[in-house]
Amino acid sequence: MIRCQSKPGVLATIVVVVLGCALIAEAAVALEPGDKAPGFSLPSLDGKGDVSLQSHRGKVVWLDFWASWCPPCLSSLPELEELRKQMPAGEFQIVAVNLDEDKKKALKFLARNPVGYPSGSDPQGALPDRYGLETMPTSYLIDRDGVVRVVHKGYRDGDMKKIRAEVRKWLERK
Amino acid sequence: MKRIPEEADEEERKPGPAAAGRAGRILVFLVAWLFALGGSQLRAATASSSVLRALPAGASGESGHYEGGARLRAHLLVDAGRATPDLVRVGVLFDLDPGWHLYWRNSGDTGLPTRVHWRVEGGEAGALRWPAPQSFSEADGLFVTFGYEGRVLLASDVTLAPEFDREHRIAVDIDLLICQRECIPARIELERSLTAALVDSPDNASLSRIFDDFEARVPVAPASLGVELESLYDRSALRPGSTFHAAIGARACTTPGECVPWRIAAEGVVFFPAATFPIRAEPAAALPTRDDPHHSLAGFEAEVSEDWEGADESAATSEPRLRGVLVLQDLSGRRAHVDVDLPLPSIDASAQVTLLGEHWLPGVHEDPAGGVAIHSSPSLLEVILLALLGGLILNLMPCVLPVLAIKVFGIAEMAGRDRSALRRSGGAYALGILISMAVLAGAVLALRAAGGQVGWGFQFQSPLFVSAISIVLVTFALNLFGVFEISFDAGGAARLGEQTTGTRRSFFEGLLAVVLATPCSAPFLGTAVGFAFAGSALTIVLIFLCIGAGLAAPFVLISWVPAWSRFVPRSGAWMLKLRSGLGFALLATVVWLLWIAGGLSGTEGMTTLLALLVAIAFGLWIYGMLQHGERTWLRTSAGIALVLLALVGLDLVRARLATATPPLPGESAEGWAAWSPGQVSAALEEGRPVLVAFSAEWCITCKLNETVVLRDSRVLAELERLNVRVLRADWTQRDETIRAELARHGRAGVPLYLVYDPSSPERPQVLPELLSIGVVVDSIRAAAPPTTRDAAS
Repeated sequence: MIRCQSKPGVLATIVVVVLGCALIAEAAVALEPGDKAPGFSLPSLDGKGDVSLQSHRGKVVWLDFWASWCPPCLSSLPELEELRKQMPAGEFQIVAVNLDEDKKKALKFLARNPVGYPSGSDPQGALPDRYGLETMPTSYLIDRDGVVRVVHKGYRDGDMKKIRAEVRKWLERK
Repeated sequence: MKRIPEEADEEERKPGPAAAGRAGRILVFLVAWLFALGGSQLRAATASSSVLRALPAGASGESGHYEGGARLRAHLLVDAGRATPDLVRVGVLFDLDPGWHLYWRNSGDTGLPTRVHWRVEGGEAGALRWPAPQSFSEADGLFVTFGYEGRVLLASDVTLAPEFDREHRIAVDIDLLICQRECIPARIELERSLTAALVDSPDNASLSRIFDDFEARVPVAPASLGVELESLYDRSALRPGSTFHAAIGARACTTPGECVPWRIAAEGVVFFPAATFPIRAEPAAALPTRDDPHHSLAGFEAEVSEDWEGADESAATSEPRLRGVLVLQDLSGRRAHVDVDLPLPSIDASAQVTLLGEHWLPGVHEDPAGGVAIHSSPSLLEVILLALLGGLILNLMPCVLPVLAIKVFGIAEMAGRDRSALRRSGGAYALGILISMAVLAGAVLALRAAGGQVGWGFQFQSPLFVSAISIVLVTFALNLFGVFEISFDAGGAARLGEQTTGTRRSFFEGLLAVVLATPCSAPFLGTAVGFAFAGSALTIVLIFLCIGAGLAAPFVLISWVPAWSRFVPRSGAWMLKLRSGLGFALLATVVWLLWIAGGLSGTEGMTTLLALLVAIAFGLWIYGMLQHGERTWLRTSAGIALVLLALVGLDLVRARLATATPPLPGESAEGWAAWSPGQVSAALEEGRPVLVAFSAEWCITCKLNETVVLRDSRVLAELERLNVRVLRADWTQRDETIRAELARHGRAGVPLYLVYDPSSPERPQVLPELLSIGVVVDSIRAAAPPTTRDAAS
């Protein structure tokens, strides 16, 4: 646990502490393209079984971190569902990780906007630490060998076009 | 809205050592400076700690779209320019990059509320003062959230303990979420010495001004602006999981003749609810009011949390309250924000709230006089009276007429004979009605508890119920024909003569009256039933019993009040003929039920039911022949066989009806298309008035209205001439969309007739339950565009 605190009047100290914090934080894991995606197995959000990354090895995986409190995450969900329908099921898989502490809120959203891909539940936020998540939503394109190829941060109109192109590109690489 | 002086703004926005160098000069104390992001702990913002770290600008993945950079700076400020030595103002000044926002104490549809927790050594912090929030449309307009952008100061007063002899220190823990096209949850912990702040900067005008400027944005009590607020609801009790309509009214004249220019703002989000529990309110919209410039209204729809058990979110009071911030506006467009703290209906209708009149809608229905009619009614007492009156009028509706006729016949037969028997009969009839009403209310409550949503006459949406009631009616008709006699006790055959008017029979007639009455609606009944269905369990039972009491009243009066007996015809030989004749009235009712069965499950289902009815009629005929014979065992066996036949037959019918295909709802002969909200808006966009008829095949009142009024040549001609789009919402079978739409208009059943004017699509006109040609023609003329209307006159 790292705390950034400062004393009044000692501005130099502030700067040092802040930069120190920043450097230390930067040294922590922040997954980048080329890194191996850490495997995981989480209880499913709907309480039916587990959701794991490694069980989809051999497929191109789109790993999406989302939460009901994150508006851009919510706007990306229906579009990800469209992407899932457009891609070959045997070769492409979307795996979602939900970070809501109160699972009911996430389930309520999914009840109104159902998706055909699994969501694991990580209310304690252990997995974001391992992935070095910095913002929400963040998604990772993981290739057939489990290597991160694309890190996609945030979500706005038009992003899906780029995502679709990336997925197609990595699906073509057998 | 006042802005922070540009000078200070400019200085603080500059990051890095330059700003740090000036920090002493501008006397803004900065404890944590940047907050580039709290990234690594992406758990809910209640996490106990967080790693703050800077993200390198332009960091991106292979396909990165991230632009990086610091987004939020947080400063712990202490205002030394205090009025009393023991009181200091402290606050956290958030400074967000353009496009980013943080959330209010209620974040709205999504997002996370900002949480601020003060820790003071040698002092105590008071309540946090939140400036009025603004609304944000997020995720392409899917969600409305509340928060702040740019700079905002969340301040509190700190009372210092004078006896504290060490250094006063203050710390603040903040959990927040900032969003733009991405979201970053984080915890910020800031700390500084209060003592040092007070010594270093005993008086600083620019710092005090920052506090003053933001505190001017904090909502004030309505009374301080000379405004009085009220809340109005469409029901007196809130049921977990339900939705309801409400309005907040602002009166600008608290004393006669003394008015202030404030009204509820006309545009944008005008009410910010302080919490999402126990109710989550949709964004409120200003509503027009009738001829009163000093009374403004904002209407909204809200959803009650499913897990609400009746307590308020704040432990301070046991009664739930409607809290939030209301936006007011004066004639020049200047805005002000006032605190809302008004009564909210409780879970058991115990809280005193003002009810909206029937004619109100959150954008629902405009009074013909041109404005929203606000009544403090109907109160429960008024609804009870409406229920009694509606029940009484129900006796004259076509559904109950067969039973009514039988009852008249029964009383005529008894008249002049035994007064006490007549009274017993009247009492039993009333009891039959009241008990079956209670059972009906119980069924509604049980279905509701099981998560079902039902309305008045819902039982006619079940093919099995329709079949069962057909069997009962055929049995009753054959009894009237004299094919057999109803005997409720084993040795009763000897007293057959009495049983045609006996107490038990009267009780049974009461049951039948209720069963047949429900597909009918009568004037006043719609309001009463709508009120009941929106209320608590007790309200439902009470209103249902009142309707029953109204239904039973005429016969109870006839049998109990001697003076009323003179309305009863004298008995004679004509009665035997009448008795058989009434049997045909019941068979006609069966024809109607067969028609409903056909509507629910097609020709196959209808034919199966018909075959079963013939088999039962045959069985009853045999039973009738054996009834007067000597062999009791044979009679009993025949009776049992008949009951078994009915049960097995019903099961067969049920299986058949389940597999039969209901006919597809299509465009009817009159060119009435099936209703959907999309159809309504499409027609309105074309500038056409819309008439929506919510009806059902089993609803006799609806059929009556359609035959007598809506298909009248004058009405049809006017509909065509004014180019009115007529839509029919068919509730013959269960349909959640239609039920919800009925509930939105305060109804629990059909009929409901709405006329939409394309120039004010939010406020359709609600027509009465029993239509007249004049009412329909007038309403569609009023809704038609002026050019068409003029052409008419």
